[in-house]
Amino acid sequence: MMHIDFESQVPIYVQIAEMIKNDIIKGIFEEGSQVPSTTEISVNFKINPATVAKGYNLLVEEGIIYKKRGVGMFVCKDAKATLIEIRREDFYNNYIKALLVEAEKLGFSKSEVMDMMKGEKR
Amino acid sequence: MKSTNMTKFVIKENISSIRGFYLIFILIIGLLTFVSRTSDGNMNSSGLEFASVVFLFITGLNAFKSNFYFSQAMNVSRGEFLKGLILATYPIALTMSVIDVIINRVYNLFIPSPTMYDMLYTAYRNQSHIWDWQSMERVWFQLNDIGTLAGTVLWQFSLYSTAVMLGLFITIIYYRSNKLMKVLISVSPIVILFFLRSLISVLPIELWVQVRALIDAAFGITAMNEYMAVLTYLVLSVLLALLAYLLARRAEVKTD
Amino acid sequence: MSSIQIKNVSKKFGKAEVLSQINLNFEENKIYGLLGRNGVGKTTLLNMISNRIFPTKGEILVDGDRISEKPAIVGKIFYMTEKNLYPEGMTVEKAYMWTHAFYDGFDMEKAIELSRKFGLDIKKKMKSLSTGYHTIFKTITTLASNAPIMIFDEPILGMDANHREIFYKEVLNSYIENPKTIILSTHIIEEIADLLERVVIINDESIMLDEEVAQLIEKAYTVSGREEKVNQYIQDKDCIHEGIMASFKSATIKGSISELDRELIESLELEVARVELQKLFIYLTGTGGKW
Repeated sequence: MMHIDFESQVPIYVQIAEMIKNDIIKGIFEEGSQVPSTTEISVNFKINPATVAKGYNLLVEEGIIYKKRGVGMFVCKDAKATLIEIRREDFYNNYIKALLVEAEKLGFSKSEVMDMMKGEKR
Repeated sequence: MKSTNMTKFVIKENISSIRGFYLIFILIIGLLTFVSRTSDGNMNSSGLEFASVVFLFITGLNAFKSNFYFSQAMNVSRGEFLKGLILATYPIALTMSVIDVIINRVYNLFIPSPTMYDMLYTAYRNQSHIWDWQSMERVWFQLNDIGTLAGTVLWQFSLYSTAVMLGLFITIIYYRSNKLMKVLISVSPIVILFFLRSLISVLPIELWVQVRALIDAAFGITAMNEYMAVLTYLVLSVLLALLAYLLARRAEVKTD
Repeated sequence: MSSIQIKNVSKKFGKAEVLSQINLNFEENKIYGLLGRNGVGKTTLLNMISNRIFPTKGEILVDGDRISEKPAIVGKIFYMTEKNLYPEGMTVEKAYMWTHAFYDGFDMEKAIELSRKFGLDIKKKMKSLSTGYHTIFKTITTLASNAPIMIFDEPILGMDANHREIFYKEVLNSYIENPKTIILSTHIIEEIADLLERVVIINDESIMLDEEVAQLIEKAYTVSGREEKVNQYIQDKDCIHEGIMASFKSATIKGSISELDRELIESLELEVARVELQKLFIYLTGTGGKW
């Protein structure tokens, strides 16, 4: 699990949701298996349980995890696939755009960037 | 019940000092006995239980602050606290009264020793001496009948309770007072004593006669009626307890 | 139920007014931070809530009952104060036993377990505890009390890093097991910022702010970059704090970022960051700070 970035503009509860999503994609939490309880997250990261619950509610709304009464929270079927699909759609905005902006800042041309991607460094 | 626990607490906190008091007391009177045996045996001592009165008065003087703070730590209301505190005094007073009678009777096996009660309410009043100076014979002997014993225990108990209440009352006044008041209170006994003489001569004789008569009646002295005194003491102690309660209700924990 | 209402409360000590017209509500089942600089009156307020001292004006209600009318209601509160209220010669063990007698819900086993975790010798007397261990003793007692309202006054003063870690976890565990109202009063904020649900800041004898932490964080941000560019940005903004290092400047602004603001920030090549609660507290309670 990643650590929470308390400096970031992103609200903590969103970060918690993202953290779980990342671990699902990485395969740490497999479909149908249990995710950490809100208590575990709360106590381990020293975050107010209400905040953690908010993050988990996000995940439930998005259909990533579901609650089994009296047992805990589990990863939904197809959650990984759903997440990957969303990530694919956001890939351009989240990574490519930023890469191009940085490249421009540093004075790289688009073709130079392409070469780097192909593995040829100049 | 919070007040019952408070009572338990107060009693437990005082047990060791009571034990210590009796240890020292018995040691001292034991020493006195020994000394008298080696001299010509004409010793007598009276009213030794006055030591208990002083001890209990001082206990009362120390009873407020630390117990109050403790009750606050336990988040006990002031009413519950004072109730518990006051209820603790009566068992202590009773126990000590009984113990003192026992000590006195044992002591009387060695040395004639009337109690304050004996001096006020029994035949001792008429004799006023233990020895007849002419015949050098012992005239007074300690009474051990149920009436005397019960009367002694009861009278001492009510006196002791009042002594504690008085100490408690004074210490609460002191606690609630600001600096100026504290100085005034500390100084007043001395001032009163100082001016007592002139005070007595200034006020009319009739007043003093009446005061004397009042005290006599309240404590059943001429009438040799100890129950009157018991009633007076109990009324006094209840009055003091009430006043203490009123004062304690607005007592704040000192935060400096 | 475990709520506290403070209505128009003022407190004077002699001639000095320490708190003035305080209006505050502590709702049940939340973790509150009561923040303020040293000597600002946090302890005074807490002493009034637990009826140890009386307000000069105004009144305090617990669960709707006036403390002045129903003093027994303070039994719902467990408050550890800086001042030692236990007899000096009492051992820690005895103190736990007495607390157990007065508080039905007091968990003796928990108290002993926590004493072990913190390294507190329960056979020690009150008077021979160091300041740090005194704080630890009171923290443990409060945690084990299971009272509906738990108040901690400077609980981590003198605690080393390990102990603080244990403390935070125990507070959370206690809160999760049995929802209750918890008030943490301190001036050391960094580590507890995310434990809190709501924060109250006392400054200048009054309540400076009373907000949900999550919302508070959204209400301020910091921009940084080249001095002139930052100055350009902050012209019409409510600026709480400014800091300069050579030609690098950072400014903390009260408000949220509109679309227009975002565009301006991008064009001025400024960096934006969230304000940490600790920093926000420092800016607001420094000289001339206001919210």
